[in-house]
Amino acid sequence: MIRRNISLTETALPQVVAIILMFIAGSVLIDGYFSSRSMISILVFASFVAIAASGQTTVALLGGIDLSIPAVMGLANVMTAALSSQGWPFWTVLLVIFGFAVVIGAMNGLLSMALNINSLIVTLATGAIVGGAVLAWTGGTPTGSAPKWLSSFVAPSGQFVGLPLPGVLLFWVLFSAVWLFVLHKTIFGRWIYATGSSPVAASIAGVPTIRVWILTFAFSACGAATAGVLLAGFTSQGDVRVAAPYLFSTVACVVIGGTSLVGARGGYGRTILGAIILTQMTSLLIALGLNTFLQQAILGALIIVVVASYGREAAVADRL
Amino acid sequence: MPVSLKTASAGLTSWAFLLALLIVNLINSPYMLNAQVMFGMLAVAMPLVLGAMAVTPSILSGGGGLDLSIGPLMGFINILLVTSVGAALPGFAAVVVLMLIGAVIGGLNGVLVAIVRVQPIVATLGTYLILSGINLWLLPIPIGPAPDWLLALSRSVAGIPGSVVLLLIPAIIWLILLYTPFVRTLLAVGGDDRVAFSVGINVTAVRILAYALGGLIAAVAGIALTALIQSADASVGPPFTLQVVTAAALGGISLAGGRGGMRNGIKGALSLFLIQTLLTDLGVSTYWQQVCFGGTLLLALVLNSNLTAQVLSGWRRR
Repeated sequence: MIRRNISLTETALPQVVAIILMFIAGSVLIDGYFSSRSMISILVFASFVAIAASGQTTVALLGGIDLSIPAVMGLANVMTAALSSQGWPFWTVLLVIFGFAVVIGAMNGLLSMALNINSLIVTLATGAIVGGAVLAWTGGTPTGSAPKWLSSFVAPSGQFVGLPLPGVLLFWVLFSAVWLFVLHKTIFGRWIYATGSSPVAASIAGVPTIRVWILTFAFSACGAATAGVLLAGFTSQGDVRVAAPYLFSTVACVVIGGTSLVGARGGYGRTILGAIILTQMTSLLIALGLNTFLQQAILGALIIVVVASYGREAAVADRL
Repeated sequence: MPVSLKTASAGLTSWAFLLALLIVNLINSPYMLNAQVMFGMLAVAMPLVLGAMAVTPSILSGGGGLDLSIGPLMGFINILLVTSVGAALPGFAAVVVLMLIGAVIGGLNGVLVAIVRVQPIVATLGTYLILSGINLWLLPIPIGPAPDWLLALSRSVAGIPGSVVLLLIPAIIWLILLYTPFVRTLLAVGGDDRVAFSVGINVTAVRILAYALGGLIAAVAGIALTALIQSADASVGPPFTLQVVTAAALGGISLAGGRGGMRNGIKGALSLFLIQTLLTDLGVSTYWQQVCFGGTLLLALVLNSNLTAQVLSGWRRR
C-alpha cells in the first residue's frame, strides 16, 4: 500500500455526516420516516442508482465518462421483459444481455483509448446507436413483461429466504463486495488507478493501458446491464426510456460520493454513499411536498455546493 | 493566426463533407433548390447552429471545458421572451436584455468553473438541472403566441431571412473578437493553461468571459428557437444540449480545448442538420435516424482521430 497524508477531502467523513444529518432531519420533520419500511425503500432505490453507477465510478477513475449507461440499461430492461415473455429461460436472457453489454463497452473503451477520442463523445455516439436500435426494435412502445419472481425480488416490501429484506438489497451487498474486491484487491484494480493517474507513466511501467480501458468500459456496461435487468422487475414492462434519468444521476452520485472525474481519486465505496445521499435527498424533498421541478433545481444547486465543498480542482498557480 | 497544414487539410475535409451532404440532399430532393425552401430550412437549422456556436467558446477554453447548460438556457430565454421580456419591451430592447441575461448566466457558469474551480462538466450539469427545473416550474404547460415582431423575424427582414439576421449577431461579435487579443488568448488558455498563466495571461478572466460569451450566444439561439416554434415550451430546450455537443464534435473541434473556432460549430451543426433532413426525406424512422446519427458521429471521430491521421501520413510517406 502507498502511504499518504490523509486530509478531510480524502476521507468519506463529509458524506457520512451528510447522511446522518439528513437522517436526523427526516426523522424530525417527517412522520413515519424513522421506520424500517421507509429505510428499506430508500435503500432499494439507492441500490438501483448505485449499481447503475458502479461502471460510471470505475470509468471516472480512468478519467473517462460513460454516457451510454442509460442506453445499455434500456437495452437490458427491454430484453429482460421481451425475451422472458417469449418463454426464454432466464439464464439465456442474461447471457444475451451481457454478451451485448461486453461488446458495447469494449467498443467504447477501444475507440476512446486507442484512437485517443474523448470518451464523452464516443459513448454519446454508441448510446445513440444502442438506444435508437432498441427503440426501432420495439417500435417505441413498452413491450413484454418481466418474470414474476424478479418483481418480488426488487419490491421494497419483499422478503428473501425468510429474511424481512428484499432480495435486491442482499444482491447489492454481494455486488458491492465483488466490485470493491476487484478495485482494491486485484492487480487489475491497481492498473485502473495507475492508468487513471497517468496513462503515460502507467504504460511505461508495463500496464496494458488500452486493455485496461477496454475491460473497464466493458465492466461499466455490465454494471449498467445489471441495473437494467433489476429495473425490469420494478417497471415490469420493458421500455428503453425508463433509464433516461440515469444519465445524470449516475454522474451525480459519483461526484457527490467524492470520486473525481479527472481520474484515480475515489472508489466504489464512495459511490455507495453518494447513491444513499442522492436518494435520501430526493425522498426528503418529496416528503416535504416540494414542487417536483423545483426539486430538480435544488438537486442541481446541491451538486454544485457539495462538489465545491470538497472536490475543488487545484488553481493554475498551484499546478505549475 | 498561424494555421498548421494538418488543421488546414482537416478543415478542407469537413467542408467537403458538408458540400457532399448538401449535394446528396439536393439530388434526393430537387425541390430544395429554391430560395424560399432554402430560407425555410435555414430557419429550422438556426437554433442548432447558434447553439453549437454557443458551446464552442467553453470547449475552446480547455481544462475539460464544456457548457452542458446551453440547451436549458435556450429554453429559459424562450420562456422569458414569450411570457415577460418580449411582452414588456419592444423588439430590439428585448433582444439586448435577453442577450445580457444569457451572458450573466453563462458568466456564472464561468465563475463556477474558473473561481470556485468545480469540474466544468459537474458545474454545468448543476446549472443544467437548475435551469431545466426552473423552466418547468415557470411554465408547466406550453403557451403562446410569441410577440408579433418575432413573427416578422421568422419570415424575412429587408429581403434577408430573419433567421440569418440572428446569425449575424454572434458572427459579427466573433469577427470583432478575432481582431482583439481575446481569441488568441482563449486558444492559448485552452491549449495549456499553465503556459498561458506563466506568460501573464489572466486565465480566470479569460475562462469567465468564454462562458459568458457562450451564454450570450445561447440567448440568441433561444430567440431563434422562439422565432421557429412561435410559442414557449419548457421541454424543447434541454434536448439541444446533447445535439450541440454532437455538432461541435462533428465539426472537428478538439474537446481538449485550444484548437478550433466558430466555423467548427457552424459546420458541425449544418452537417448534423443535413444528415437529419436527408434521413427524413428518405423516410427513415426517427429511431433509425438516431442510429444513423450515432454511426455518422463515430465515423467522423474515427476519421478525424490522430491515429487515423498518422496511418494516412504513413501511407503518403511510402
